[in-house]
Amino acid sequence: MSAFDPIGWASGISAVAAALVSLFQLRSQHERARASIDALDSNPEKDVLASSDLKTVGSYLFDTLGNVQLSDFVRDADLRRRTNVALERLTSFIGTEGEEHLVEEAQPSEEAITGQPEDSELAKAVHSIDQGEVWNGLAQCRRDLEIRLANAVFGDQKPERLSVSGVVSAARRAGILSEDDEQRLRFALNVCNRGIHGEDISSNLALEAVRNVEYALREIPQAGQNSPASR
Amino acid sequence: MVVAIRPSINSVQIGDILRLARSDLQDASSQLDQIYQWRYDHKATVAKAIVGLGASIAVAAVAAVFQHGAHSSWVPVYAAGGAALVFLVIGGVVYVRLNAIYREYIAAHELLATAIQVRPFLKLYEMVP
Repeated sequence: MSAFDPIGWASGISAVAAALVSLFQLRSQHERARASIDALDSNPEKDVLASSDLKTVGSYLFDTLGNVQLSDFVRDADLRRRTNVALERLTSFIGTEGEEHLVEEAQPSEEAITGQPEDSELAKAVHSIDQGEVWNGLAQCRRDLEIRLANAVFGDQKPERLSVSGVVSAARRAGILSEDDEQRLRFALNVCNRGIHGEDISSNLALEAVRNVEYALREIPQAGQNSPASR
Repeated sequence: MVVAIRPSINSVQIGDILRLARSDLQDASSQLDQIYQWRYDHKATVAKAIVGLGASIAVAAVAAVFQHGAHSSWVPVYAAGGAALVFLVIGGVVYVRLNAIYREYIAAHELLATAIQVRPFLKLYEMVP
C-alpha cells in the first residue's frame, strides 16, 4: 500500500460520515420545528388564558413557548407565525408596560358593598383571593366581566381585538351601564390589569375590585344566561 | 456578569430570552449581543475548519496525482477528491448559513424587548412555589 492510500480512504470515509451527519441534522431541525408546532397546537393559548391560572399561563410561556429554539423560529415560517400569534395573545392578556395605566384610574363609588358575590365565577374569584391566589382571582374577575358584558353588548358578535376597556365603553354607549357602574368597572379593571400585569395587589384591594364588578353587573346575566338589561 | 442561561451556545430558546428579561440585569441587551457574538465566532470557526480540511485533502489528492508511486490505485485518489468536494460544500453551506444568525439575533432582540414589557409577570411567576 502506498503512502497516499490511507489518507484517501480515511478522508473518503470521514466525508461520507460528515455528509450523513449533516443530513441527519437537517432532518432533526425539521422534526424539531414540527414538534414545536405540535406542542403549541395541542395546548392552544386560548385554553391556557381561559384557565385564569398563574401557574398554567407561566408554564405555557416558559415550558411550551420557551422550548422553541430561535434557530427554528427564524427558519420555519409556520412555526414563526404560530409562535408570534401565541406571544401576541399572551402579552395582550398580561398587558405590557404602560398599558394598564391607559385604563383610567378611577375610584370606586362611595357606597360600600358587602356580602359574597352571587355570581358563581366571581365567587370563585373571591375564593381564590381568600386562598392567597390574588392573580388567579383577578384574572377570573376580569374574564367574567369581559364575557358577561361582551355578551350583553354584542351577543355572539364581539370584535376579536376589542379590549375589556373597550367593551366597558361600548356598554356605556349602549346604555347598558350607568355612569356610576362604569366608574366601578373602570376602577375594578384598573386593579385587575395591574394585578395580572404582575403588580403586587393586596387581597383587600382585589376583593374590593370583585365586589365592584359584582355590583356593577348585578342586572347583567351571568355567562350562559339571556336577556341583557338596559339602563 | 454573564447570565448562565444554558450550557450550550449552539442554540438559544425563547425561554432563555424570557429568563434574561426576568433578571435584573441592566445590560440584558448587551448580554444577548455577547451570546450571539460567541455563536457567530463559533460557527465561523467551524466553517473555516471544514473548508480548510477540504482544501488540505484536495491539495494532498492533487499532489498524489502528480507524484509517481504515491498511490497504488486511483480509487483512494477519487475518494479523496470526493471527500474534498464534500467538505468544501459542507463548509461553504455552514458559512452561508451564518446569515441566519443575524436574523436570529434580530428576532432575539425583538423578543427580549417584548419580554421586558411583561417582566413583572415573569418575576411574579418566578415566585410561585
